[in-house]
Amino acid sequence: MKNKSREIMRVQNVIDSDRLNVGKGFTDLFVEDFSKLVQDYFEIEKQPILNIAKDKNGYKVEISFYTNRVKPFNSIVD
Amino acid sequence: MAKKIVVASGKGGVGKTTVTVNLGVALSSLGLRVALVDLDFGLNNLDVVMGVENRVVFDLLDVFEGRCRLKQALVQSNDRKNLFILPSGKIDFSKHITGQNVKLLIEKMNSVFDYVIIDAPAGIDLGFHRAVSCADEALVVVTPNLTSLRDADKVVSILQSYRLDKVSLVINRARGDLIVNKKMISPTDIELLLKTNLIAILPEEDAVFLSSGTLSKKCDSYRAYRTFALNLKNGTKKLFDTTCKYSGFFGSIRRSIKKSV
Ligand SMILES: Nc1ncnc2c1ncn2[C@@H]1O[C@H](COP(=O)(O)OP(=O)(O)O)[C@@H](O)[C@H]1O
Ligand SMILES: [Mg+2]
Repeated sequence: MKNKSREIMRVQNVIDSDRLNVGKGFTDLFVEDFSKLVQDYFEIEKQPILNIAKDKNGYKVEISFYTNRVKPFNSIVD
Repeated sequence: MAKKIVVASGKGGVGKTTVTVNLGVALSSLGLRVALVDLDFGLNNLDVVMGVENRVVFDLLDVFEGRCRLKQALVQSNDRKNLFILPSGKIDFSKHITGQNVKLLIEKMNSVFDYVIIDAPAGIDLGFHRAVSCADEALVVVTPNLTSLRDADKVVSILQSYRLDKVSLVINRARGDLIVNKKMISPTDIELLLKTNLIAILPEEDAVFLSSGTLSKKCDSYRAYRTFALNLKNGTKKLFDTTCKYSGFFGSIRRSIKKSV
């Protein structure tokens, strides 16, 4: 058994790191697009931070940012 | 309307051409009209694996450049009236062929065939994309080892960006004795790892390596390919069991014989 389960773990690890490997270009682009959207609703001083981590359900994607103020709704419209 | 299926793998040498040919043969023995298209330009082997290389007169390039009609380039199988191949030619002229060209050509086969099976090149370059863009469905061939599975996972994720009706997994070169001994990753494990629906398990067998075109009805691979063809035709999911031969008392004897050779 040990051979097989070790091999499966190994395949799983390699595949996981391949799937996760999206490159800096991807994350930069995503954060840039996402912060455009965020700025319609919030005032932010710093770029959002993106975190991707693997857990048993798949990849957990966390995006966090700080805001001092929610923009008044009117300002979104015009 | 022909169903157009591309056979891809990522890694080379895992059995795309072998699967294309034997699946084609199995589908044709169910009475279906089948065309096999070689889009592995330059590394074309479909004609050889089919055993018709001596009868190839024209190839895809001749059709594209107007030297012959599609009908003239199709080569009929040696022993089956309803099985044809479209050879791709010895040189890699693929730079001059666009995806649109190939797609139009394959569309022309729609009314004449029930299945068009496309042998794609290894890798994920232009040739691969060209082959996939012609298809409605994809089969991803893997062998039960790390490098093949890793490459297949990349291929599966690229295939997801195409609007294909279906992407299914074909496990080739499965060894029942090693699976029973827990030395080889099992088909169920592979299906879970790649999160892709499994449509066929094909055993590793000398008969496959040695055959050109037709497998003897006595060998396991013949039955495995027949089950595979029926799954495709009927949308079922029956899988050939490579391990039953190696389970139980007689199975353990077979296993130890296999180990000692
Ligand atoms: N199930 C199998 N059992 C034994 N040999 C196989 C099997 N599948 C493929 N082969 C052999 O492996 C080699 C590579 O197969 P091929 O179909 O040419 O791969 P690809 O088209 O993916 O490059 C060939 O010599 C073929 O006969
Ligand atoms: Mg090949």
